Amino acid sequence: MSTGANLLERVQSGLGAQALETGMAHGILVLQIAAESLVPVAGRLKQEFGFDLFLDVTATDWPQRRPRFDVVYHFYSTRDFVRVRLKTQVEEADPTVDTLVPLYGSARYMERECHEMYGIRFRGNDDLRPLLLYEGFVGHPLRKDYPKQREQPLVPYRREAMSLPPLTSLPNPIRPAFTQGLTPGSVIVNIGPSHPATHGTIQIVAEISGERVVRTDVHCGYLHRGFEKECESHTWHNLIPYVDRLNYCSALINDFAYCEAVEKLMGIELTPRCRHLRTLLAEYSRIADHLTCVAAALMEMGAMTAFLYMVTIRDYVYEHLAAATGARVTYTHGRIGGLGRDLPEGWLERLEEILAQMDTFVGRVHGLVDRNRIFIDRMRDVGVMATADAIDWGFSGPVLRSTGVARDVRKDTPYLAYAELDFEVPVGIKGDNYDRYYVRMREMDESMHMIRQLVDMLPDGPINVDDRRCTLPAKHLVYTEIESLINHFKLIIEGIQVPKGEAYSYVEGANGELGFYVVSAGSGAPWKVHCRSPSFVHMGGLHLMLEGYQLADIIPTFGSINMIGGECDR
Amino acid sequence: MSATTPLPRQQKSAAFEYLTTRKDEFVGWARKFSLFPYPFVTACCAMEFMSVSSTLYDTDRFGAALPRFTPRQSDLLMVVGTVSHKQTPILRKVYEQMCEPKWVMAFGVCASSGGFYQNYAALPGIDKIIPVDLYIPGCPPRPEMVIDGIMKLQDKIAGERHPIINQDF
Repeated sequence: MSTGANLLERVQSGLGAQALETGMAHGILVLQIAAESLVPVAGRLKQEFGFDLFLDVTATDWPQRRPRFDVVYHFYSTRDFVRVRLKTQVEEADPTVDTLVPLYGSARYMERECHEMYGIRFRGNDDLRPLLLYEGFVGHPLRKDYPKQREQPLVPYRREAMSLPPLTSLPNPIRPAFTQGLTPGSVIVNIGPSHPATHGTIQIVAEISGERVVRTDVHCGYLHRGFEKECESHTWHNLIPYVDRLNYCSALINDFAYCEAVEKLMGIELTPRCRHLRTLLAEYSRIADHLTCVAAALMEMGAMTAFLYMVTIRDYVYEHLAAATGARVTYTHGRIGGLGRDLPEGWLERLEEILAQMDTFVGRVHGLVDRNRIFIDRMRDVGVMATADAIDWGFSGPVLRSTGVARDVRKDTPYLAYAELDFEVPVGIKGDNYDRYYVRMREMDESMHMIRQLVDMLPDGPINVDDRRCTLPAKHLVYTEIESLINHFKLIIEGIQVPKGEAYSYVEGANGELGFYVVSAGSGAPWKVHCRSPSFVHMGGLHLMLEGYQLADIIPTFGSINMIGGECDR
Repeated sequence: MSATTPLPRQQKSAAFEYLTTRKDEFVGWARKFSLFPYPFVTACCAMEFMSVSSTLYDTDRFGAALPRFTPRQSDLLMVVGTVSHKQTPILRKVYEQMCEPKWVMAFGVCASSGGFYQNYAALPGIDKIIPVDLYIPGCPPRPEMVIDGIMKLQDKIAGERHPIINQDF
């Protein structure tokens, strides 16, 4: 992207005076700044240089260093398709930076997460309640000095096999933002986190006046299972199963995104067959994800037939992927520098059969709901999101595209083999539920189109790079020669040695920009793995789509966003 | 034969014993084919839960299909996926809201033991807070495994005592 490169040069020369250090790292401009100049620099990035999408904020803990914490920000320009990373250091004694909430709406949720995980205080952000954790949790779990297994149970454990401690009062894990209505007639209702009509563990505290939603307070975090902490205690390869379980609807996309981040750090160039296979499998996974999302959203509105059609075809996909990878849902198929294994015999023939059946089944769903009066009444003009709001709240993926802008990482900054493919980026008209449904349906068509192209152009050759740093030697060599035996032993026991540094990989996940920010201290286990998850960001702006509509509209609106708990709460 | 005041065991007649065993068998037979599950769905296992309850695997065939979306109307609590500490008060409350008789199924390794999430956030198995009747391993379990689990639970229900009037009858 020449305009993007120009922009980065302009940023570098324009902001160089305010930065302590500048440099390029894996295509991202890195600016090391002082904590005081954070807001001015971010403000200029947004207003002067057009970095309108706030991707992410996280921190890195270096207990042996003064100052102890790095606070790391990522920004994206939706016009020039380039990314900037801001880094600032804060002391342990006073880990305070200024908030970016006045500039970017999406900062609100992300700063809450960073605050509870690392104890970074964001001056000016008045809502720093626990988000992924719960009320009463003491400490900051992602700090290096927090022991991984220190639990803080909310409910007393049972002592013997059949005993049940008496139920006294159960603690409330959250503190709602409001307990009183604004007007005398309004009522406060609680939806979730175990609600039959929301797929995913989300809790929405809503104030309603009649049937109309006045304001909402969205709580996620009920599926927070310590992904980032687990990563730090596993080797680079061993943590891939955890990565799978982020967005479990399309686990392969996560796998490949994570591997790409590590490959960037190691400077690995994939083999052509691996690049194409990863693209193919990622698109196949995307179809499975969209099928799940649309099926669940339709079922929640009562369209059981559509659900059964889509889950049936999804099951064919699962079995087919199981033939290639060994598992139906959580594949663990990505390897750093390649793939777990090559395709089995006859896999591509079966693929064509499934795609043909998929056309039929998806066509039936189109026929059932597209022009269905009930469906249109529930979907059209409900949960409307304007493009400007969507970008301000950090939205990406199908939700952003439904508002009418064709922003797609696969098109804007092509990775893997996307540059060689012919595909369209479907967009919506006004960003309502119907558009989100239709964008997903159209994306499935595009993915099928891409898969067919990839089958035709799939090159032969090895799937793993020939690199002793990451690829395991062939099994027969391990048994017959000492070098391979040692190589195998070192890779398994000590893990891949990834050079010091940090990298951010970004792919188009099924729900939006999925990013992995990995930091290596030069050892066999990562120092930090942070996932920029689209679902989490979408939950931060969900209230905009709920307020002003009816209580019953919460269900289709929430369903059309496709929040995936594993990815949202990590 | 008074139903409210049980006879001392040595005074029970052979006919009474016979009636009791056949009664338990009868009630167990009825109950095992009318399981109304409450899906407490949290995580990845939900994908397999969707598969197992829809066309290709169809738990309807086992009399365990119709999910009741309120715990008060259901008798099988299916805990599908990881339960975090934040979720535990909700799980305990849902369990308490269910009427007797009730059974609990831990669907997947996370619900059974915490799986490979052994850290500050995840509960190491739901049996730490509620009693569990059936554990289904797998991450996530294949649909066949779930069906096998349902059948095992049905066997268990069929073999249980089913007091319906008081503790003894």
